[in-house]
Amino acid sequence: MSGRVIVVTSGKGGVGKTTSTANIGTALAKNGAKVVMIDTDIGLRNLDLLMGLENRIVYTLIDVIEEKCKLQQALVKDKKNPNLALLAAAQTRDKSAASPEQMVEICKQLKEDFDFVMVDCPAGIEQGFQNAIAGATEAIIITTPEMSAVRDADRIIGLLESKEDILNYKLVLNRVRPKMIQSNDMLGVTDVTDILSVKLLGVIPEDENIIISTNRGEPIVNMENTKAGTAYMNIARRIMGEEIEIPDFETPPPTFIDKVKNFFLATASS
Amino acid sequence: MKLLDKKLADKINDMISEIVTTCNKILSTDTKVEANNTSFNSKDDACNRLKLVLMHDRSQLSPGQMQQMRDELVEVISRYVEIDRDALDLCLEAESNTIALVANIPILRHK
Repeated sequence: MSGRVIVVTSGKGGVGKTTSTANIGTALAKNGAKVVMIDTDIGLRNLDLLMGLENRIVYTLIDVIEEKCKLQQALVKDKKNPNLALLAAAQTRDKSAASPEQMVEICKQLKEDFDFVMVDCPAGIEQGFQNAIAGATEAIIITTPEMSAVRDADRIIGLLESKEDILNYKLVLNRVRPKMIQSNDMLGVTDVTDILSVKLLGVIPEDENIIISTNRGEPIVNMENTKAGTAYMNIARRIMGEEIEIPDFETPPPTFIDKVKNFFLATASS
Repeated sequence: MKLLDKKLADKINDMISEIVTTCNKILSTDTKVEANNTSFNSKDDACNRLKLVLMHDRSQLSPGQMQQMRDELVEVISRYVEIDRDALDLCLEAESNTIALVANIPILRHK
């Protein structure tokens, strides 16, 4: 088996890379795929927290690189889904503890056993970023409708384009507030995709449940009926090849008067 | 005939400069209004600022370097033709994936 290695990256910090990795990874596994997530944010690991696996980590990515343990030993199984595993980052080291060549090797080994290898990239464009993208052939760029995040995403796209191994990359627009877009106080989905000239993989609406899910160490895709959870599930299905339309967050929902108008128009034309 | 042309050209020139000053007046008052008006649509602001900053990022040219390049261009071109230094317009323009350096250099007369 040869799985797909997908890096989740953004440039800017705090836009939702780790949250997106946790949720897309969990959603892929929920759809039946075998998934491993690698946290490459050495020194500032958090993916274990979002997955609620922080107490189960014995070995880390760096232990595998330094051959203190076997790769299989370092993989932590998810609490709920046996198809999902985590390879945590070391917390007491820094980014220079790993090299791109070593990351390529680890990804190569992992994709033999898993359908998807999801790599959570650290913020920035320095060595941590170079390590994270080294073994990947696909990338998901996370951004929010804020100028600083979009600018950093543009920089990341430039760097990914110069990397031959990255065959395709798509954008996830996170923390979208439909009401602010409708009142023209937030960059819209098409504004961002036009400015970055990039394909869209999905749009995640702002959702307070994300905070609750982080508090519990439970990805939001495991919670019932949440806006963000549904959006992440749809992203996973798109990654797996399904055609699912991205909902329109830009046009305001029809008002009562619109509905009455449409009703009369429809009856008049029939 | 030539004399008439000259007069006409002068008139047109005057007209244009008048239009430009009026436009500038309008624009400067407009921005004041916009700044005071909280309902001003901030998305367009973000879009325009982003587009500009990304053009500089992508071309790896800072506004300072642009100014330097502009000054050097003026110097080189002035050796051959007399140009209107103040009217020289040098900017970056984006078209989908490519960025162009666009210069508009009004020539006053041949040297």
